[in-house]
Amino acid sequence: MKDRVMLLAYFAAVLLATSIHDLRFLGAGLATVALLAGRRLPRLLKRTAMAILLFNSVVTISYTALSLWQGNFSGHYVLLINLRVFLLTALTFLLAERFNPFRAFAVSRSLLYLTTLCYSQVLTMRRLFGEFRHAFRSRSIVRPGLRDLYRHGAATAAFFLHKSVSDAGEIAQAMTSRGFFND
Amino acid sequence: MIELDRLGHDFGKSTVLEDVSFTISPGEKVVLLGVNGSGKSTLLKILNGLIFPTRGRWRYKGREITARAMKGKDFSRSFRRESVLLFQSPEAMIFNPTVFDEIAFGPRQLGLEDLDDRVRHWAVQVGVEKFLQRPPFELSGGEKQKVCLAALLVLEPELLLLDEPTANLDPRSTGWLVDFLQELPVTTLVTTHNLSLGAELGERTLVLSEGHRLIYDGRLADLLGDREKLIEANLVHSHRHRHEGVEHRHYHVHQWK
Repeated sequence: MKDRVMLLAYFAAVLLATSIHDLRFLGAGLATVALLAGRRLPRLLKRTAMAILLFNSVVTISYTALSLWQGNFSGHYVLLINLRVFLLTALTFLLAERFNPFRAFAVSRSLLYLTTLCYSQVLTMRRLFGEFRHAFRSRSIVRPGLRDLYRHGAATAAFFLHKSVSDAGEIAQAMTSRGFFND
Repeated sequence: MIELDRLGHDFGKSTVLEDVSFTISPGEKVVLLGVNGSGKSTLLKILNGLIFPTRGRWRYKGREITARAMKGKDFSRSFRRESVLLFQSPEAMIFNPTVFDEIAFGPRQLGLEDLDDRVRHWAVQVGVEKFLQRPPFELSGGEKQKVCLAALLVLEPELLLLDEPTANLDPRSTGWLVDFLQELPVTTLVTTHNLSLGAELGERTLVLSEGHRLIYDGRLADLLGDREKLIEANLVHSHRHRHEGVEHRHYHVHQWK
């Protein structure tokens, strides 16, 4: 029950954070997340910052350059999008640390199956991703250049995309074979 | 060349290696046997300087390998050239647009001369010369494995670590790899859970138990005569056999052909 309440509260918070445009309310939301995180706050802030750094930097720099060129730069808008993404990401990490998805989705057997499948895929992909990282480090005699980093990133992304699609097909066939879609 | 002293490793709360000690001299061909989950891959990653032991220590050519040692540019550069690891999944190692680039990746980093000759030589050695201009992603599992092997051997390493190299190979490719490794003048440490392949891959055998400890270090022939040890390591199994109407049960291993 607790996990379902947490999930519903999370959905409500996401809805609020995406519909509110007042920086003070978003700031208050972030303060609430900080309070809920307690002693784990420094780790949560670091994780959140690392997760959004690249995406937000690209968006912020692109927007700033374009709006300055067009003469309609808004500092409020830059703050708003960064604060909102930070809040939503921190909120998601906070939820992921606290709740059990299997108990939260236990209301529906189908949802529970889906959660289990997703979780097993996440574990498999995470283990494989670790192998890719280690293999690249093992083969890098010197610090890899930009071209090598790009090639490795692209090959890794292509592999995981292909694997996700092919695994999804396999899983669907296995589920069909086991009668999952009979009803 | 390699000295392990009471080495142990944990992942979170799980112990994956405990109290492992052994040495490997230059030129030795060693097989590391153990069932899945016994810690073989973790041990290879430690010996390749990718992860570092939680307990104990290990030395490569007399130098202790720590995270700090691996941060030293000169040492890291020579270590990465001398000690190479073939991962169980070749896909993890492949990221270049052509097989030629894949094999040339290491030599290019080192700025080695006669790149073309080096790449072609090792492509011929492992039998992938006809694929040199093809993307490695399009090759079969066995062919990818050979490309990865060439990409490591082109560096002329002193220590070759191989993680279950026959796991994804068909019988013909397995036979080829066994012959190839036997003739390779490099110190090798090969992991496998296939007892019947052990004798083909090395002269000396190390066995990791399901309890993640080293329980045997010696000749494979002696290990095969030690039934208790084989059962302890879960390297043999027992099930019902039927021979011409007679049914019986005994410990055995399914032979690789």
